[in-house]
Amino acid sequence: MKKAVIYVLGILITFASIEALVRSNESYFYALSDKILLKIEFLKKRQTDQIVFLGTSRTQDGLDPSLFQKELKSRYDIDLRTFNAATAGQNTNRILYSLKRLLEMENIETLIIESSSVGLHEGALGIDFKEDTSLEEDEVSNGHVEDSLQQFMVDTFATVRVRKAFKLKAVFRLVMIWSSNKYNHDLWFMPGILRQISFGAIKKYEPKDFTPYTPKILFSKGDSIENTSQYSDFLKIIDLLKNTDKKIIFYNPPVALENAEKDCNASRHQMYQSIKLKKPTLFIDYTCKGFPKDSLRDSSHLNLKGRLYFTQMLAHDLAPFLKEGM
Amino acid sequence: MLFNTLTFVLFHFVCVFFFWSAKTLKMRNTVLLFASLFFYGWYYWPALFILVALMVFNYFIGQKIELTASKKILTIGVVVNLFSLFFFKYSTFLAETIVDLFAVLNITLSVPTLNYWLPLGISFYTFQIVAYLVDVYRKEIEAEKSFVQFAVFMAFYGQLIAGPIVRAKDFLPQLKRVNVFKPSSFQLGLYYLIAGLFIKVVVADTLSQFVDFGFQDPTKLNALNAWGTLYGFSFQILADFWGYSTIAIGVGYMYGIELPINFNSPYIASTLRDFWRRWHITLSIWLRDYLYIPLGGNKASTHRNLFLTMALGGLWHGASWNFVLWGSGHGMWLILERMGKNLWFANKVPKILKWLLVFNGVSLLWVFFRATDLPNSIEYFRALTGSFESTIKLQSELINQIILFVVFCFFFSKSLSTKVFLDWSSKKQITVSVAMLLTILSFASAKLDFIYFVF
Repeated sequence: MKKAVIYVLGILITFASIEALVRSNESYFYALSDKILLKIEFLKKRQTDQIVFLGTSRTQDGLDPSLFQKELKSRYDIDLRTFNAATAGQNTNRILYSLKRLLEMENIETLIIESSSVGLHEGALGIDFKEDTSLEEDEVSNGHVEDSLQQFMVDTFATVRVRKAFKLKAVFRLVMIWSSNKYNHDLWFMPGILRQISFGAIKKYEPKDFTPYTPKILFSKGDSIENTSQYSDFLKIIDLLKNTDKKIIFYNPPVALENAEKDCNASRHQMYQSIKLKKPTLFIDYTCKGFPKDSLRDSSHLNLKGRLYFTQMLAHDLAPFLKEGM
Repeated sequence: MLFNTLTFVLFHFVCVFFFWSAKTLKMRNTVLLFASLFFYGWYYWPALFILVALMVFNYFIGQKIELTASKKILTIGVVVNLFSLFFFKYSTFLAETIVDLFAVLNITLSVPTLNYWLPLGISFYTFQIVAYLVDVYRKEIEAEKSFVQFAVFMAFYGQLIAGPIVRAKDFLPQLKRVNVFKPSSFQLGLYYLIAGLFIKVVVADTLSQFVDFGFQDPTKLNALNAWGTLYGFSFQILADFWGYSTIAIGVGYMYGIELPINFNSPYIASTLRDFWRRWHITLSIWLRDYLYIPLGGNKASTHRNLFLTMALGGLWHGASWNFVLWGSGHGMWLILERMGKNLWFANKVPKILKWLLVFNGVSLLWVFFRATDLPNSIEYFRALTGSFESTIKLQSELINQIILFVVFCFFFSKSLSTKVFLDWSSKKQITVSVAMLLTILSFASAKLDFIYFVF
C-alpha cells in the first residue's frame, strides 16, 4: 500500500513542482518549446541587434548574419549588429506574431522581411497561449467535449501550454539560450548542417570579390491583384507596420536558375507595387536572378556556399539604404 | 472514445473511483457494465443496439447449450455471431468481388451496396463470444448465470474494441473476485496505462506521418525511402497495437482484472512460427484452438490447415484481398518453414541471418497490410526495387523515431510483459513514469485512431 501511495503522490508532487517552475519562468519555457519564440528570447537577451531578418527557411538558410554584419562594416563602414530571426515553417500568423514582439524592441532599427509566397499563407500559430489557442476539429462525434477538455488543460496548466519544451531537442535550445551572447547559433538551425560541414562546403568556399548585381527594385504598373489571398495576407503585415518608425525592407530570396523564370513573375511585382502605395517600403526581388545548382541544397534553399555568396550580395545591395535611410 | 484522449482518461478515472466506491460485487460489476456501454455508445450510440442484442442472444444461447449439449444449438449460436460479423464487415466486399468476377466475363452486374456503419470491435467480440459458446459446448466452462457478469465479459471497455481477445475461463472468474482493492495492481495498471500511451502517442502517431506520406504515392519514393518507410510501418503497427494492448491491460489492472499480454518482442523472432507466438498472441491462440485444430490441426492435411488458418486470419483483419494475400503469404511461409526445418542446413544458418530474414520478410508482407489495394501494393514493391537515386532525402526524424522505439523496447519491454515494475525502487518508478508523461505531453498534438480499431 505504502509503495503505491508513494508512486501516485510522487507523480502528482513532481508535476506540481514542474508546474510551479514553469509558471515562474513561463517565457523561458515557451522559448524552449518553439523555434520562433527561441529566437525572440535570443533577441531579448542580447538587446543589441539593430538589423533583424524575418522569414522562412529560405532566409534562415540563406542569410549569414555575422557575414552580413562584417560585410557592412568592412566594405561600407556601417556598424549594425545583425540577427537572423527567420525560422522554417512560417506562415502569416507566425510572422505577425513575431513582428508584434520585434516592433516592441527598441534596439531594432531595421526589419528585413522575406515576402515570398512560401511564408504568406494561412496557418496555425502552433503555440498554445491562454488567449490564443487554436484546436483542431476532432473527427469523432463527441469531439467538442475533447476540445473543451483540451482547452481547459491549456487554460489551467502552464506545463501543458509549454509542453513542447519537454522534447529532447529543447535541451539543445536551452544550451543555445545560455550561450546566446557569446556564439552565433544561426548555423545550427539549418537542416543537414552537419552533412554540409562534413562534406567540407565551408572550407572549400572562399568568398571572392563580389560581382555587383542590380536587384530588381519594383516600379512596374499593372492591374490589381488585390483579390489574392497572398495579397490580403501581405496587407495584414503592412497594416501592422504602418505606424512604426523602423526601417522596413521586403525581399524575396533567390531560387535555382531553372526556377527563376517561373518565380520571377509579373503578378507578384504588381502586388509589391500596389502595396508600396500603402506603405512606402523597399521591395527587392532576387527570384529573377537564378543561382547555379552548386549554391542550393534544393530548388529554393541555398546551401552554405550560396548563403555566403548571397549574404555578400544582399549587404552590397542594401548598404546604401541602411546608410542613408529611405 | 479513443484511449489517447483526455476524455478517456477522465472517464476511466471516474469509473475506477465509482467501481471501488461500490460496496458489493454486484454493484461493482454493474458499474463496469454501464461504463462499458457508455464507452461503446460514446463513439456511435446506435451500435449499442447490436451489441446489447448480441449480449442477450448469447447469454441465453450459452445457457441453452449447457442444458442440452446440443451441437445444433451451438451451430445456431456460432452462425448468428459470424453472420453479424459477415453482414457488417464482409457483405460489401463479397458483392464487389462478385461484380468484379462477372466483369471479367464481360457481364455487368448491379449489386446494391449497403452503406452502413461497421460496429467498432465487432471482429474482436465475435471471436471472443464464439470461443465462449464452443467452450460451454465442450464443457470446459459453465455457462455464465449472471447476465451482468456475462455482459461485462463481452463488453469490458478495456479490451472491447481491439483486444486482447480474452477467454471466458480466464476472465469470468476474475469478475467474481473483484472484491478486494489491491494497491499494487492499481499501481501496475497506472504504469501500463502511461507506458501504453507513450508507445501510442510518441512512437506510433509520429511514425504514421511518414508512413502515410510514403504509401500515399509510392511512385515518389526512391528505394531508400521506400525501405525506410516500410521499416517505419513495421514499427508503427507494432507500437500502435502494442500501445493499445498495454493500455487495455493497464485498465484491467486498475479494476483488479488481469488481461493476457498480446505482444512479446515479436521482432526478435528468428522463425515465423516464433513470430506468431509473440505477435497478437491472443489471436494466434484463438486461431489455433478454434480454427486450426478443428480443421484437423497436425493430424491430417497440416499444410492445408495451416494455409487456410492464416488466409482466414488475414481476412479477419479486413475485408480486402490485400489482407487475404497478407495472411496467405504468412501461411505459405509457415508451410515452407515446416518443410525446411529438417533439412541438413537448417540448423547451420546463423541466428542473425534467420532473424534478418524473418524481420525483412514480415516487413515485406506488411506492404499488403498497409497498402490501400493491390495496385498500391505493386507500386510500393516497385519503389522498393527501384533506383536509390533521388533528390528526396530519407527523413532523419523517421530514423530517430525508430531508434528511439528500439531503445525503449530494449529497456522497457520486460516491464510490460511481467510485473517487474513492482520490484523497481519508488524513485525509479516515479522518474520513469514522469519522464514518459512529459514526453507524451510534448508529442500530444496528433489525434489519430488506432490502426486496429477498424478491425
